[in-house]
Amino acid sequence: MIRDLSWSLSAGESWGVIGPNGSGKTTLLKVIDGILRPGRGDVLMDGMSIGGMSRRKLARLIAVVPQESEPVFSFTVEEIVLMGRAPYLTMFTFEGSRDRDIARNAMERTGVLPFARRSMRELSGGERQRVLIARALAQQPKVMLLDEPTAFLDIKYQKAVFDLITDLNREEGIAVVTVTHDLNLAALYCENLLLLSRGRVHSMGRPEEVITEERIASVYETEVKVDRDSETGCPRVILRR
Amino acid sequence: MKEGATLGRVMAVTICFAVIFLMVLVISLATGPGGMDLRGVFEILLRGQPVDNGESAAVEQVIIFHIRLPRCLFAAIVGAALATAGTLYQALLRNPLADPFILGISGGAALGSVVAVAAGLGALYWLRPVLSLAGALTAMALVFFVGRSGSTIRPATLLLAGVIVNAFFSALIMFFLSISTDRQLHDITHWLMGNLAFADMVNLGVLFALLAAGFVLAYAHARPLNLFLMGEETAAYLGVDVERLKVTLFVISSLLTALAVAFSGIIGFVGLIIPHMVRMVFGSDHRVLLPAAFLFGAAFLMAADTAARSIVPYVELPVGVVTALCGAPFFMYLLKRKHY
Repeated sequence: MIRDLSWSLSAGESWGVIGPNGSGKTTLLKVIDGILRPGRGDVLMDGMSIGGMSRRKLARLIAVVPQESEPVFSFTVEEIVLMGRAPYLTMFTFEGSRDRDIARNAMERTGVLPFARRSMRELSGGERQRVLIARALAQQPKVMLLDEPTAFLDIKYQKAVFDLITDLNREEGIAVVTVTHDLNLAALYCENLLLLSRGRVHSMGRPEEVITEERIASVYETEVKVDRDSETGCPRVILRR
Repeated sequence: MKEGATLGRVMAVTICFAVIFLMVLVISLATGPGGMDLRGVFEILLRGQPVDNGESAAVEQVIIFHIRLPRCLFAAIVGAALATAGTLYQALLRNPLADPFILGISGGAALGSVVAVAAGLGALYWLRPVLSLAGALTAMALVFFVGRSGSTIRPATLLLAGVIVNAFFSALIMFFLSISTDRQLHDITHWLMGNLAFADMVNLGVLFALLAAGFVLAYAHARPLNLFLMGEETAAYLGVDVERLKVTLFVISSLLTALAVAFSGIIGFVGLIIPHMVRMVFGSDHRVLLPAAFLFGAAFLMAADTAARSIVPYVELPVGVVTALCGAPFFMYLLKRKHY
């Protein structure tokens, strides 16, 4: 449950949403994308309530990258990325050459073009996650929501995925909201952080402001040490036994 | 085979399977106790009448047009309906091992048919498919209402509801069986095994119209179906009205199954293995899968029925026996594969 949440996202911004399990991070994503409707209050996009928009219209504005999972049915990478064009296509129509170009671009941007004809099954977790990002990119959204995109990835792919997200934010101007468990990655890559605790906003602002010992220890109920990377000044959360 | 679906590819696959269908049709028309060769069949079909006029020729014409053709077309319609329903069920339940009868339709249809026989209708023989259809629709409604939690349909709950409804109807069927005469028992068993003897030209037209309508409606949802396979939330994120899609899928596939079962009994495995076989070759994109499964299902059941009629001389096996004999080993093979 989320309570008393008031927050706005401007064009081209990059946000990280952090907080303990059950703090409402995933719920927040679902509310933003209209999957869950707020009991009180509203979600506005460019001043208009999203409650009145059809799912198709929303899908052209907001793209969600869920956590990757083992596919039950086999589709190729290209087929999956082309699914991102669905919000623009009507019944009985096939994807046109423009749609294929957009999908191709998306695959190139995310580095999965070499896998275009391969089945998702043959890819690693990191590669699959990038395919899902490509699909979201093919939707040509203004906002991209990512739900723990690096949850099961090793550090190489964690960095690759966050690098990609940052590139998309800076170069395509897509506003990005990334839910993540990894506080250090969030501090390193996100311009702004939203720290949730028990369904409420605990803090929001730049990483240096949000990631402090008091705040983290209080929200996560655990002893931590926070220092700064001497070169970049980026806050780092360090656990002690 | 790993390209995406384009209009060209869909047309190519459709034409390919249509050709297969026609070949199976012609062979089926040539097979049977009448003893006719392929050339004779072609002549009759193309010219409307056999080359040499005479009594035996006239008989051949009657056999082809009034006995075999309706039978073959009926098998084709039932096969197409079951294969399409199977494809849709597998998508709805997101489970490649689903089958059109899994959601209780078979139990309801069987009960309707059993009641009709047990009541001893005699001259009112047409009441049997009607009662069967009524039973199937009742089961469908039951499963729908039990499987619905609030305003959403959860596939897992649907599955359980189907199992329960089937079990309940099975119990009622057993009751009726226990009070039936030997003659009635034989009648019922024969129907339960699935047979295509009830073929009437007039009904074929209506059946085909309904089948075609169901197919077109299903095809309109082909792309949302692909998205739905990725998960309900993913489909919603990509703009699909997921609840409406589930209801539509459920209704179309249940109606198609109910129609097939009401007239032909429970012909198993067609709805399960046809979508699978097509998926193994062409992938899971429903824009290719649906027409391919439709035509291949039609051809398959026609072939199975022809085999059922001719394997044992002068004996007509129930077609369900043939489909089970083909289907079960294939199903076992499927389970052994690491993935579908």
